[in-house]
Amino acid sequence: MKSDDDLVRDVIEGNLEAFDELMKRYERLVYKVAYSFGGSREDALDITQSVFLKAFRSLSSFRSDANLKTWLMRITYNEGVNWVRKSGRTSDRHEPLDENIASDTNQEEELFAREKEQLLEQALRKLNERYRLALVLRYQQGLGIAEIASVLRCSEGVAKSMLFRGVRSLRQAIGT
Amino acid sequence: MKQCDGNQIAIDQLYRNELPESEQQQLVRHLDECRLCEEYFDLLGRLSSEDLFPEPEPSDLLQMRRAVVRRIRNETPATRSGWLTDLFAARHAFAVGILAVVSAVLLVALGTVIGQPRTERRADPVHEEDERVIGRQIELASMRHRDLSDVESSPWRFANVQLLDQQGDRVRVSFEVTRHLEMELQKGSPLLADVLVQSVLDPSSIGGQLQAISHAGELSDPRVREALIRAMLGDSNLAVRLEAQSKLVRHENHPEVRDALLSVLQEEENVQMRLVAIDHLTRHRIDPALLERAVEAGESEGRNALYVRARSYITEF
Repeated sequence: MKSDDDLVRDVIEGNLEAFDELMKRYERLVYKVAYSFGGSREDALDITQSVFLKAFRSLSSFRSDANLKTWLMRITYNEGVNWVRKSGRTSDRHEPLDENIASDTNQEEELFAREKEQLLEQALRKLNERYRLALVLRYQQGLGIAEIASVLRCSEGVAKSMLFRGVRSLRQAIGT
Repeated sequence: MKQCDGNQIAIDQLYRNELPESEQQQLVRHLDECRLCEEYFDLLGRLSSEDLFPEPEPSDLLQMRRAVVRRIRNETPATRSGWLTDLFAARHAFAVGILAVVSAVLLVALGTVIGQPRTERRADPVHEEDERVIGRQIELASMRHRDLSDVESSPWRFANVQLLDQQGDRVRVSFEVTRHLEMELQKGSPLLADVLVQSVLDPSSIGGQLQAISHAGELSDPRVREALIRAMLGDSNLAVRLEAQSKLVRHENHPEVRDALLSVLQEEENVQMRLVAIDHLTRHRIDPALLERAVEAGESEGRNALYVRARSYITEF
């Protein structure tokens, strides 16, 4: 399997198949982070598409000693923020709960669980964008502190601080 | 009831299976006894849940990749789709004529999308009127096209085309339209503000960003100020962040600028930027406690230099 650096070189030389391969490597990661901004499948796909187009156009400025994953995450962050501002939407994606509640205990529990999940999602989307990105990278993508610090261009101490402040803000927002 | 001090890091490590075994049992026992810590652990689990942000469908990702490659091909003449160049190389005059006619029919039957993804078409009377005006201009331009070279040399560029057959002889077409423009604008023009904002935030050209920032500094538009703040806090290039900061510190103590400079102290690694932030904040008489907390929360490297710069201001109070 070719390394990221080799694929980048191939793309710069005009090989679109190499870029397709790069997209396959990172599309899930980009999509999940994009979803945290867009809040729906369609919006996440739009943002993901913008990210890869931006990446293609900027590839010539990508330094070979840098990490492609963190570089893509920075682009995803910028595109996500741009998307939120351009679309003029608030961060409240909200699917209405089913009001036809049966007395069935399982259904009630399911509804309660969904409500809790929506509350968390809404709280996450209201977070400071950098805190949110730190949390998504850590807990959705399993990135280490050093990688997160590299994406956010801060020290590891500041990255940790953002994570814990982010979790604290979430707890306050959802009332735990 | 307060969160148990120091447990956040350990709980995070436990969750990620990074906590040494010798400490795991003790922490697990504590989680059984402490409701707040147990809720913290539970919250980390919920943040990691796949249901929070669902997995993408493989078919969606395949379509996304195809759309990206299609757009790249449309924007790059050297990689333009083979079927067009094949037609031209075959020198079939009637095929070229058919192509020109099909182009004109499609343009007449279309709805125009200007620079928006297809999922974001807004039901907005102002935007719909804009689209009608531009659509009409494009139609008039296409009516003047006589052959393939007229279409190829048109200043209107079309990309990301989607086609859907309708009843009868109609086709629904959605696509993006771009055109290069050169204009002279007043410094207070909203269009100038829009162009500068997009250019400041476009990471594909650092030179373009720096040029836009140098002009953006002269405008008092709040959108421009917000774009400069975002560039100062979020751009990956240090020169861009420095330049954006240099323009922002000319703003007279605007609250957004003040908050952004506090964020610089907390989050920026570069010492020069943090010193500039201190100079501006002290010049505008920020609460010294806020200043001290922001410096303390930031990167430890260079902190001594920051304290030296801020010392006389902090002790004055």
